[in-house]
Amino acid sequence: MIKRAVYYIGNPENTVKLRRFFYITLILIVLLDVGVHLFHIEHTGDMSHNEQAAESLHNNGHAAGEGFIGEEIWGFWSVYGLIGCIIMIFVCKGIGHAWLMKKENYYE
Amino acid sequence: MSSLWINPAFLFILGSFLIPILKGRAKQTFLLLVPATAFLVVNSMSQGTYGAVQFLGMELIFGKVDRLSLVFAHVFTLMAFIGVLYGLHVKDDGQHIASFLYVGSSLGVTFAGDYVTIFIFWEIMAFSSVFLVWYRKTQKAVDAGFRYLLVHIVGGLFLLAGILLRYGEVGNFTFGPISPEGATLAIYLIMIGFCLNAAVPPIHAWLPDAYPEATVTGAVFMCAFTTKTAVYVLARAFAGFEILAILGAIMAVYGVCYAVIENDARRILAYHIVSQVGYMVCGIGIGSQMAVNGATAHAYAHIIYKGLLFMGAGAVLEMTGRSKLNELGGLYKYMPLALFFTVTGGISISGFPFTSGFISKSMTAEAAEGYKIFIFLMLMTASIGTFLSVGLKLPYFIWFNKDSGLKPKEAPLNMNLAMGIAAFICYFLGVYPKFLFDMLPYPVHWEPYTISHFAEVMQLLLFTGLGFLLLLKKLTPEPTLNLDVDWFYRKGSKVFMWVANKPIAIYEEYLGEVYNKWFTNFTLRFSNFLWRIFDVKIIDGIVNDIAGFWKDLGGVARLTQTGLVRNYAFFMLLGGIVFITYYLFK
Repeated sequence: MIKRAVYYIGNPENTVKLRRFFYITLILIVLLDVGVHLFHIEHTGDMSHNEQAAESLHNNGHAAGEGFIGEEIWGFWSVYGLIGCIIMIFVCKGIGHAWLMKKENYYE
Repeated sequence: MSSLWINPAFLFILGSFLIPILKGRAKQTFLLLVPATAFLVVNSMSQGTYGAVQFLGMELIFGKVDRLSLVFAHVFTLMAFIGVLYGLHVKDDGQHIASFLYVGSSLGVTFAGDYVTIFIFWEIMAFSSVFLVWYRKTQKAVDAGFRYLLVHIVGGLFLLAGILLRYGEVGNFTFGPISPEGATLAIYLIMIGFCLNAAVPPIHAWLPDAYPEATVTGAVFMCAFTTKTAVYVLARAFAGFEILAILGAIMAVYGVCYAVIENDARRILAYHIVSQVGYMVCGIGIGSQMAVNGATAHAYAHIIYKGLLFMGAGAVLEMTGRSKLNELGGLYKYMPLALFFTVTGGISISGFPFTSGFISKSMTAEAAEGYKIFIFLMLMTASIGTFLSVGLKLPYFIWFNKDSGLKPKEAPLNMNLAMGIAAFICYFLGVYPKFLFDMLPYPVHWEPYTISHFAEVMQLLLFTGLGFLLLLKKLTPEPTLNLDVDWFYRKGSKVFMWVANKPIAIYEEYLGEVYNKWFTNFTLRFSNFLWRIFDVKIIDGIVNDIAGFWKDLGGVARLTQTGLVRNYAFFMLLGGIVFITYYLFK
């Protein structure tokens, strides 16, 4: 079973199908997030923010921060994931090429 | 009450002595039996303090058993079993012995109730694990092993200094929680010692330096124990130290950034240890019950999925002899099982729903959200990088992408079995988190599976995937070496050797010349002069007695001193001059 799935994914003929499937998943997951916001589904498990804040204050003397603003925005984490990923690649590769990357025998 | 308690640490340490005696099947059975027994022993252990020994007026406690030590011992023995199974085909007894001593000493630290015991096992850990690097038997591995050992010796010295200073302050070696208020130098020295083993930047570079050079099976052991025992001792002693929360968040991002530009599969994984341990250190620094729970849960999950990842990359290295991404590719037809296991590890480390990472990582992140938003966002950013490098880049460039022309077979049965068990645990914990949550040090009031949490994590990860697809070309692995802070001691040592060879040698030569020219010459002439006088006197035969006296004196001087007597005569004169000058100008 595993073999067959792997062969299917690796077969170049199926690339277009797989990509299409992936894009549909992306749309679905954003729709799910919109749904969560529209219907106000509780966002942090069975503990409300107040309880969490109280627990946090009780445990380590730090007052819990305000709920993160990003949680209120539709699709926030989609944008964060995409932009974060792109920035990370450009910044890391940029610093790498400018400074950190050396020839493999650098220390020899 | 200590009579019936068996220390699993000693099962491994004593067991290691039997390894060279046994042969064939008996040896393999024995190798598996020891971690299996230890696992059962840990499971049947009840809380309490056992194995107290009086030694040189100190009380050493070998068995402090509570919820925190139990959960770590549980996963350590479990991972030891998986690791031994994975390396069962290895013929080198030395590797098995080293890994047994290593696992045993890690367990020793886990159950230690005082700093002396911790320190002893801490050092055994360093000295046994280094052999797992050296057994690779390449020049690179030998060099990396020496660097690893030197760094750990320095870390051990920090720890020792802290322990002794602390003894001076409080008069005992008891190991327990420390309050962040009024922490002294001693406390911070201990913390530095612990943080070095946890690979907290800037003292982390030993890890990505040494682990990728270790043997295939050695790396599987190493990725589990050193950093996680450090997490354990930090969790016990330093919960609530804010500095750790900040350093942990930095670690989490630091590791993933290097992984983006790294080419060697096992070095990518090593940088991700730095990153993942960052979550744990951060959770410990936050210090709330939920955060410490999160750190502990993450350590448990991490040991298994990171072991799985190292096993997957190790299987490829074992079968192809390669671990650099630019030299690999197109293996999906030949090693589909290894791909499946590696991807399982990859999605677990990324925290996909229904894997172990989802239930553990989110707990720490959630605690961070209630603590400081910037730390929370740093952890979320690290999540992006984790999926990018380990979940996508690593499997893609090994198993897909271009065809490298390699046609390896699947790994041997025992390796696949070990990976299978680890993969099963990854999914099992993800589907049934209660198993892990019930072992955590504090009660868990948190439910990972809510629709909103699911949507949040899936968005973050899948859109990272989109970014990967868009920038695939940019991510093509490049065969380079990436500078890290180990530059300071790798280049630094070269500078030191250069200074020792060039300027100091020249200076010494110069000094030698000055000495010869002035000092020796002068002494020679002066003693010549003395000799001639004595000669004359001797010829005169008048002061034979005086000459005899000088001769005797010289004999005595020769016995008590090693140099030439005439040199000392000169010194006597010089001393006399100084003496007189002093009184003249007084």
